[in-house]
Amino acid sequence: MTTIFHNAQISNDKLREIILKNPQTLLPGLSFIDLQMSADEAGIIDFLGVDTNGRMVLVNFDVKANDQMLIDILAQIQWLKKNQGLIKRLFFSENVDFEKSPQIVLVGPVFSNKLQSAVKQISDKDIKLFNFKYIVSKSDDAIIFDEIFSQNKIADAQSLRNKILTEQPKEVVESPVFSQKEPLIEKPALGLKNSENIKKEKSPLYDVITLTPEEIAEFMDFDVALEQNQTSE
Amino acid sequence: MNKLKKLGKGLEDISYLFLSPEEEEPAEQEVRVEKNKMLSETIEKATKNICLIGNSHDSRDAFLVINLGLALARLGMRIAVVDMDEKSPCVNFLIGKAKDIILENEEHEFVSKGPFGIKLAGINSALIENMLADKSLRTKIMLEMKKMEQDVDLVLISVSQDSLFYMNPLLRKSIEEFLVFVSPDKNSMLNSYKVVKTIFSHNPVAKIGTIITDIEHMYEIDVVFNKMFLAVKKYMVKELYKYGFLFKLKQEVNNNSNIASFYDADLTACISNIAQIIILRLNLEENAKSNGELFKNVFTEFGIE
Repeated sequence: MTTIFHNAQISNDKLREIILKNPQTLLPGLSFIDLQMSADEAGIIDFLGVDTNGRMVLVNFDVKANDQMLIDILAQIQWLKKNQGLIKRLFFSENVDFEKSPQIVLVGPVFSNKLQSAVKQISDKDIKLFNFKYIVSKSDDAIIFDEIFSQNKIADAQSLRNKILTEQPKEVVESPVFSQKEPLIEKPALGLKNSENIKKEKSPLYDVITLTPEEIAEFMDFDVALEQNQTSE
Repeated sequence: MNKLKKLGKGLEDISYLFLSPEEEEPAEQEVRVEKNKMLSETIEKATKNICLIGNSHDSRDAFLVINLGLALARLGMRIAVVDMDEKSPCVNFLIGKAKDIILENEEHEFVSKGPFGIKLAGINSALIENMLADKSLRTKIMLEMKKMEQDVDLVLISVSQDSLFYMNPLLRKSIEEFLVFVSPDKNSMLNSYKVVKTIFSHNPVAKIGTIITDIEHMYEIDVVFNKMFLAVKKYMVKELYKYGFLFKLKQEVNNNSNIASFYDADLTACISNIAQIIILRLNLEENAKSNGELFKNVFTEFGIE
């Protein structure tokens, strides 16, 4: 039976929850390390994440069309640069490569032509724009994320064009689409696994979490604090 | 006259257009209220759950988890205790079984019944391996866990700090609140701090509470909590909640005895206070409907479908 869906208005909280639970929909390998992070005058960074290459990813969203998002996120990147020391200290355990330029992801119901033109001119930033469509039926709801712009795609297209122009016509041109194809991830076959395998597969962060000397030092004076309280009682 | 009468009659006929149907309104409202009630009754939510992370390698943590389960059950809640502690599993104690016996009752059911109707289940990495290998076992356990979730108001999940390695799927999602045990000891606090850091690194929006254990003097409670709270705020910019405290056990708990039979009036008071805070904080409702998908999500992350 065909289910009929209608367009519907989504709330900020609901969209936030959906993005929080499905970061991979926006970017393969993306995981969030913080959300609703205040960047002083630059406003709030909705999601701060890191991709598989250790590059920081900023994700901002709005349930309404809002061109201001682009200005906000650029200001937030400037704020991150300015406060790099603090950010490094906060996320030292997250394998973030602070040398790499952050990736920008904007999510909105629609982006104006003006914004899309402006984004094309910011060639030194990796920006992705996602339109979303929220639909509901009598018993269910669904959301569709559609990537409408990616700086990467432009770069790919340009490199392909350059390659075709510079290479000899008789040679076979290898499409970057195929060369950049991700390796197939084989699903583990069902079978007996030993616990070491489970540990390795399921605990990428298990041994990574370490305490900094400052954090350890924080607890070293605990006995003194305890004694002080004991005497004051 | 006749004309007027006719006019009057005509007005009567169309009067319903101008007068509000006062008598019908309450009936309509009742129907609407009933419809809403029926709708809310049919909405199934994820089972409320809380994850308790112990800080010791002996049976103290097991004692606390079990007694917390009993305290909640005494307050009228339908409770399940799921033991995911690799080193010192607790649920066996509650039904008076030895530590090493795999938790399976006489009817070969995976979910057992404890006192006060508490449901008990144990999950460890060996079981997950077996589930991966044996399809019928997988189906059986998943069905039983689903039924268990649907039959209870709250699931208490018990883990130790060492067992966090296979808890990653749980840390990432599904858990509503974590309760970390902290003792007034430098090393124990550092370990608990590391646990808090691990949880936040997996799930930046996690809600974490603390229970200060092994208290000998009342002043220790505030010193320990403040230390933890300030360190978490300073280095992680996050907050910790305070759930309460527990006095130090006056006697060693025997690993093979039925731990629920152990009685200490001070501790019982502390535990029932924590139970009441849990009910208030998680907004627990009696006979809440559950979709029974909490552990399905966990098993799926282990590759069990």
